[in-house]
Amino acid sequence: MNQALDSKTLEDSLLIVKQQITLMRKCLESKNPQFMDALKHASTFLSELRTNKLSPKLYYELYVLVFDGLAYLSDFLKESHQTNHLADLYELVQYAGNIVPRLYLMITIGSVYMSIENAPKLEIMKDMLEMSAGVQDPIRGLFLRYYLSQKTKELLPTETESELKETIQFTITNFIEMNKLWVRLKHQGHSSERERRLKERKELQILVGSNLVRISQLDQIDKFYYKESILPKVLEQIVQCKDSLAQEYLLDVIIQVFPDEFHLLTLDDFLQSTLHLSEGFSMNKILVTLINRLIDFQKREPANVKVIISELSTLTLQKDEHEENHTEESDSETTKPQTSSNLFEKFYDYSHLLVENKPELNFKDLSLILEAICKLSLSYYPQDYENINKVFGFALALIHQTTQHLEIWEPLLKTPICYNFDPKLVLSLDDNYKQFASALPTAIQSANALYILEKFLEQDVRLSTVEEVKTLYELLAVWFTSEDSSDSNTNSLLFGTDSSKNEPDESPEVVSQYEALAKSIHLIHHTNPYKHFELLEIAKSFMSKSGSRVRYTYPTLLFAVIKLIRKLTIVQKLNALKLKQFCQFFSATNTELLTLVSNGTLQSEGGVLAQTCMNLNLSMALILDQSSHIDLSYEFFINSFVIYEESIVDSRLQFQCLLSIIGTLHKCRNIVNGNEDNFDVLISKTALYGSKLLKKTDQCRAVYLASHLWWIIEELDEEDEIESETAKTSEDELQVVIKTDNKKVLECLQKSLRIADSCLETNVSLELFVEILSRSLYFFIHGNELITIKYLNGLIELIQNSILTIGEENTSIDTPTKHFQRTLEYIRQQAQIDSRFEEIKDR
Amino acid sequence: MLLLAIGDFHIPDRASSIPAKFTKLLAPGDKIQQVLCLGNVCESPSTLEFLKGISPDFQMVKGEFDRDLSLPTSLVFNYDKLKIGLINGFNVIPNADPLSLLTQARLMNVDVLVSGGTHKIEAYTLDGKFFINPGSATGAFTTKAPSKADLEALNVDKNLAEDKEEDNDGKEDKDNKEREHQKQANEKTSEKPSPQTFKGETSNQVTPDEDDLDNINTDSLEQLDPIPSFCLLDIQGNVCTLYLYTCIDGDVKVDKVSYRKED
Repeated sequence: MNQALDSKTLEDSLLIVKQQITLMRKCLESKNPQFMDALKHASTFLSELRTNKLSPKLYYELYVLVFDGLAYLSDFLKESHQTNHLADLYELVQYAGNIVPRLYLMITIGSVYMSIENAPKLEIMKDMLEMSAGVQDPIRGLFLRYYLSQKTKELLPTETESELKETIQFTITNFIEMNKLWVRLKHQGHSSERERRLKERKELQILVGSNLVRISQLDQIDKFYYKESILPKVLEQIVQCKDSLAQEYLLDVIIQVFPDEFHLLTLDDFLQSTLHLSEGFSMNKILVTLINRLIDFQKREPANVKVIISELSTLTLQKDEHEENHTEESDSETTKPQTSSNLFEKFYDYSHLLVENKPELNFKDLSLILEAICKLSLSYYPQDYENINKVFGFALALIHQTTQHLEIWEPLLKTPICYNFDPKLVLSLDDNYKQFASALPTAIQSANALYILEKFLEQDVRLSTVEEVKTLYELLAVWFTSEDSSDSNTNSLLFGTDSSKNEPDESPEVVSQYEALAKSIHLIHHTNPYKHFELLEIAKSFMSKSGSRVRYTYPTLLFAVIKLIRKLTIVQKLNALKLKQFCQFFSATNTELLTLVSNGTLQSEGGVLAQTCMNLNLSMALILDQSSHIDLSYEFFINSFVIYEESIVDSRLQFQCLLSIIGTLHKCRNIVNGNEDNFDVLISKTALYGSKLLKKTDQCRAVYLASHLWWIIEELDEEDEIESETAKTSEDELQVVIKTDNKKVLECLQKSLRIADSCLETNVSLELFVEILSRSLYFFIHGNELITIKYLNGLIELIQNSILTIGEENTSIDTPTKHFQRTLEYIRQQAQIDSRFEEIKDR
Repeated sequence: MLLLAIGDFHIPDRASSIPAKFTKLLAPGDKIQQVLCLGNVCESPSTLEFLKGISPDFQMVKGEFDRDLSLPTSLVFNYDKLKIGLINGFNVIPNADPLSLLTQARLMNVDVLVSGGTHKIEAYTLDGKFFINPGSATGAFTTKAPSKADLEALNVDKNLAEDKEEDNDGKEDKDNKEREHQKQANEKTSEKPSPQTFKGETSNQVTPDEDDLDNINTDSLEQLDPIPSFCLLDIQGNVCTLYLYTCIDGDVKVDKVSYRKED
């Protein structure tokens, strides 16, 4: 049969049905209704349903049209049942020639009859049901029975208990018969058409399922009735039909159409029956659907769930007692263990049974089932980590049986972290979890580690005990071992370093892993900085295993230490001995970083890392200065200088580092006051470094900027001004003089001027001259007595002469000339508010 | 023309992320035409990626903790009638000093100078030029000593501080600021401030006994952390309207300042 032929057949049939319906309506609508003729027309169009040439889909189209036609008949009968005695008609249609039209007519009349008061409903139901057995062709039979169910659905009696029983019996019987027809369809036709059969059967499944929907719509059934009288029969049929399509579909329908509380109460029965299903049945789909429903139920109505679970345990107890002892009912309730009502236990035990009874079950399905069980436990028993441990213990046993397709286990591995609201759960799991993880491929372990860590970071989960810190990093262990830095080291020993090839160019994955790892240090937290420090030490013990990748994590660790010192300084609990520990930890860690630079592991990246090391040292020095530990502060400055001298090679970096040194020294307060000699050593050294830079421009700038180190004046913030109103200050502005040395400042400026003058390119020296003029103005404004009007005028004259020498039109000095003019403009503006400026010549 | 000025992330060295409220505000779109990054992103490719997603025109200067040596240390951009300069701030000596910044702006020939380093958001006009510091986008820890006002707000352990009040010899020395942590609990503003000298005081360091160290709670100090912030610059002709965004306890606050360049 091809499709074109199919649709041709359908069109022909539809045409006949339409014509006959029209004729039937004419008979019925005439003033003198020709009822018998109408029945004949009906019988004629019903005969079209006898076809076996249509696929289920097309047959359904035909059925719909016929259904509408019969609806006219029903309506007419309902209105005219006074004149046409329905019982007689019911008998009458039995004489129709063909069985299909006969039964449709019978059901049509029977259903109208049922709607009449005082009709023998139960008998009609029974009769129709029995008669329907006359059609045994699967498709025709299914549609006939579907018609039966559709026509009677509103009419089934449910008032009394016995009526309800009959109604349910009626529906279940119809369901069972339909299912049998449906299963039988599988065996029809040539075996080569099996695929097509399967498709057709899928199209018909909804007809079978409709019976279960019907039962679920009966308000009168409660969960106990369902457990006692409905589910067992339905499950029995599902198990017996031995057809995996039917089993899968119908179990799914059961889960979908009946309320959650029914499932909860009948869980044992349901699970038990699934153990007897046929091979090839995909177990995981049903179980996962069921578990998800139970989880949603728990989320939605936790109180209700509690009630049902307690009912369930009573039920189980009673049952047990019935079996053991028929007399006593409620005596020993309290002594009985309650485990039987534990959902997790049910599913967990079930998963074992499954493995025993169904050896054909594949690992993929098992992993999905265990994942669902894991979720169930997290939802119903969020605090019961032992459950999760059990699941992973079981998974571990399973995974040892195979080495293939280990990636299927990844979702299960992630479940505890992905499904739980508190990421800390994962820290409470026992070794099963870690062993399970480490049995999986490295890539999966690594992804899971990142997943865990990101969850912790996302929720800012604080780690405040040794245990927590250790466990978290143990979970990330895969990162600390995977780098083969030893290899590249031996290579570089043998072949020397080839900067183009040997660069440790990390993959983006590794970089993001280590970024997350560094961030994890911020999760470590303890209100007591000393305890906090101990936790940092533990963190370091893990980080230190990552070879050259410590460069991603150590700076964070070091800043954490700096922050602790700051905190202790503020609360004034900085203990000298402990501080020494802090400093040693800091220096040792920083030195390890520097080793990476000096042994050439990092090549070009190394210089910038050295800059970071130096800046870390400077930060430490500054914090120690603030805590008044000026000797330690001095040590760290000296260390910074050593790094500067030994590890900063690039001239650009040297200049940048020097600026950082100057900037930091300028912020120091206690060391200046506490040990000015030391401070002088530091700042003289700094100025000297400046004069030794590679490029003249850098030299010049470094030296004039270093001049600020002899001129440290602090202007108080506005907030502070209010504070110190009573403090006398000679200036209008409130200033705190830390260090002023007019002469040294002048010397620096003079020195930078000499360097500028020695530049070969005149435009460059000109620019530097202007910059030095600007710097001199700064000190002039700040009242350095040696930066006099005369000095400034001298500078201006020098610049003007240089411009004249080069020639104003020379475009190469455009930029410095404009800079000069802007500076002069500034002087003119200042003269309007500060009379001292008036004496400065501007031409 | 809308520009984003943002910097001093220090991820992961000192902070783990930009506040979620900020990342939401700065979701990719076509509103922001250019991103001016003041550096100190540190070793965070994810942050860089985020910034580059805000606008394809991403500009960045190097901070002292950035490990990319190829980055410039200063940049200048011309818009309509305004010139804007960008510099991290570690290279302005003394750091964040207004007069130094003014000198720097004159050198770079800019009307608006955006700089960072202090982790404290601010904007002011000085001698006709506009100075913007967008603060730290993450509220990263800074090594700058906490201000006295901050410390007083802390209201920590009074007793220890009182010991330090004796040395009131009326010297009226000016540098009380750096020792503020030693007398931070002096919250009675009516009391006379007690400036102290540094010299010779180093021996007086507070060195508590070891047994005393078990019961320290520093949780309240978290409020000393800088406030996460960034700025948006709306440039129209010779006017720059500045929006200062801060995130305090998870709430975003916006302030507005305007600058007009005088012709």
